[in-house]
Amino acid sequence: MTDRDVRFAQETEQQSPADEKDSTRQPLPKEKILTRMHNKLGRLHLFAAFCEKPSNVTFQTQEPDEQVLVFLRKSQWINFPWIVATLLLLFVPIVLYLLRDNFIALIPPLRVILVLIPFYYLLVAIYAFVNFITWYYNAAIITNKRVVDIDFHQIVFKDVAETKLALVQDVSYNQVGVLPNILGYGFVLIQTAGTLDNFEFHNLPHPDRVEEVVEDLIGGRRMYEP
Amino acid sequence: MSPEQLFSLQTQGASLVLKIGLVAVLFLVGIFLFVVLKQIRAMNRIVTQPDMFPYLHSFVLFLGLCTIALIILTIVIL
Repeated sequence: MTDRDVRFAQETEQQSPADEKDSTRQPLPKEKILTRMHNKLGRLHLFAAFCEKPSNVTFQTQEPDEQVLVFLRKSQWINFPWIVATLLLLFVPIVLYLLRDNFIALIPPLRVILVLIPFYYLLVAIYAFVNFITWYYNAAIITNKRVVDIDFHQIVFKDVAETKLALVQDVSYNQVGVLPNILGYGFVLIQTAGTLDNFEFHNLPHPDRVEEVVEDLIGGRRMYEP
Repeated sequence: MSPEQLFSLQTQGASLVLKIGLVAVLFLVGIFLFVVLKQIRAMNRIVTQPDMFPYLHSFVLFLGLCTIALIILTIVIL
């Protein structure tokens, strides 16, 4: 535990509920934002969708003094449909084998089956893998300087957009529907200045925390700007 | 030509069509996997997550090897 963590823990203990309420209204100093982040210091797990201050994530345009504060992917629950589809597809040949008596005339010779079954499972594996890497490489990164949105779709489409925190004007989130509220994911909108495109993040886990972090960061910036 | 010979020819023709079709599709799958491999490497440069990359990379190579094995299997068996 670093000195910052100890200081943050002491401050938290001393803080009364009223003070805590006030502190959420006012922009936090940068120092405090960073110390608050420290208490959830993490190493990004293989299948994590939300990690604060991951120690093992870097990105291409990262500056030497730039620190990744939050790393985000879409919620793991988003993968549920294709995982179920893959599991069902895995059992299709077995089901066909069990029902073989019903269409015995259509059954191809054994040598054809020996080729078709591995071919089928290869396609299923590719289907699952493509879905996985689409989820895995669709990421958002919040650093102490900017917000980076990395989109990766249909294997051949990738789009990297970023905006400096100085250009972020507002951040909001919503969780609409039963599943997002039960499973804890939602939509985060980061509005940027002028004609620049807004940043929309769908199905992010802990949208409240993301909003809080970005709000703290842009609040801290405004407080310390001359 | 006797009916037996005709049937044998039809079977051989169907087998040949199936073989050519499967090999063509498998070649396309191989090209697709190559693109996936390149994209994974590119994405890993954009955002580096070193823990997972070797597994993803190895899995694509494994699928590629499976594709090559299937092409050989198709040509030999069918």
